Amino acid sequence: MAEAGQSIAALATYLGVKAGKVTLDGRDKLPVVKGKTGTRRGLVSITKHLVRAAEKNSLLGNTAEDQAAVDQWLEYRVSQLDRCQGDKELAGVLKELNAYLADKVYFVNHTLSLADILLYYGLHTHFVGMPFYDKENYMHVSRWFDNVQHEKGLRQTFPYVHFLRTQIYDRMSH
Amino acid sequence: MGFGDLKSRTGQQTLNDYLADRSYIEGYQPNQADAVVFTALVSPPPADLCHVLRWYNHIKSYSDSERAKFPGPKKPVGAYGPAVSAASKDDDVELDEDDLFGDNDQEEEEEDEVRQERLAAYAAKKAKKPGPIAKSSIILDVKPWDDETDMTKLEECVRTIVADGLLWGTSKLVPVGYGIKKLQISCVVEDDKIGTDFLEEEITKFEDYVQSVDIAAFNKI
Repeated sequence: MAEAGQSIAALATYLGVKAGKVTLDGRDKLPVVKGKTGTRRGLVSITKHLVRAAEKNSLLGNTAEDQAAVDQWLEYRVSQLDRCQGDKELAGVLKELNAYLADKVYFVNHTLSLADILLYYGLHTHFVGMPFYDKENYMHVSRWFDNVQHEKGLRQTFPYVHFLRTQIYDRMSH
Repeated sequence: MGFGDLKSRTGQQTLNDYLADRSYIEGYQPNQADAVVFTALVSPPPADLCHVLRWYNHIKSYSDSERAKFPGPKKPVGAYGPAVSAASKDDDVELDEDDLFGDNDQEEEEEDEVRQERLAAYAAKKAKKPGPIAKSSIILDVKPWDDETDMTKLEECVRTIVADGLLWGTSKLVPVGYGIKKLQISCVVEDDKIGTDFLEEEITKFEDYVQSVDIAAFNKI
């Protein structure tokens, strides 16, 4: 769960706010941030607090329905994606996401939300080492991922993930 | 070059393939390319073109005024889509290339004709020449039902089979056991005209006498 700390730091940079010091607490390595306004535990609480602090509430969804959906995906990141052990479980998650993203550009509604950002950070480590065969297999996730990683200021120090086998070769041009 | 006619199925299919791994027509943010293609599409795409439908719904989520404010230059619909960069480059060069290909086509046609003529001549020559006829000598084992089967009658029946390219040879009776004898008969066949399947079929037609037919030996002559 070292990734949680990384995700929080990256999100803070993207939002242009200070995250404060992230410590990992207990056996579950729960991220904890102690600030002036109180202590926050858990990835979801911390990231949502950061978004509110940056006054970018639209990232949390504009309607109650969207907010609930964003919350669900944040929970999904913590309870499903981060708890993946081994390739098999990850494949299950990717398959699920692939099916969900088949008819969507972003996870919630038609705009970038906190759900996209955190799932992008969470999936990044898995995507870096993924062979092209799998990337093409999870076409919808790949498309979404490629789109999100081009969001300005989001990728930061995360390595760029290539989705075309070569930069010159364009699948559509022949 | 472009997506073709976006009102037709093929055009939408092209767009569908194009959007399979893209969220937007160009780049990673909605821009004028999306607005232009969106307007060209007129009506929502059919549900089986899932990529177009996803993109269409996404672009539709913006209002008309928002769409008008998408960044990027506005180009005609044909300028977007697969292989657009190659098509829009240097028209002159393309014309030259066209001429070049035109010449090539003619030359190739002539060459083809010559080759066709030669092939025809060769085929005719080959057909006239009586090549050696491939023949095979086959020895067949014909087994009767039991010891009461009339073997001479059986042999007569077998020899009544007449076909072009089939010549019956000598025959003998070989004891199998318990007083049963099988008929061993040789024949010469022309490979092109007679197959072993034909022989077996014809002989087993005499159900009254013949239980089964085996090929004991098969030699190319």
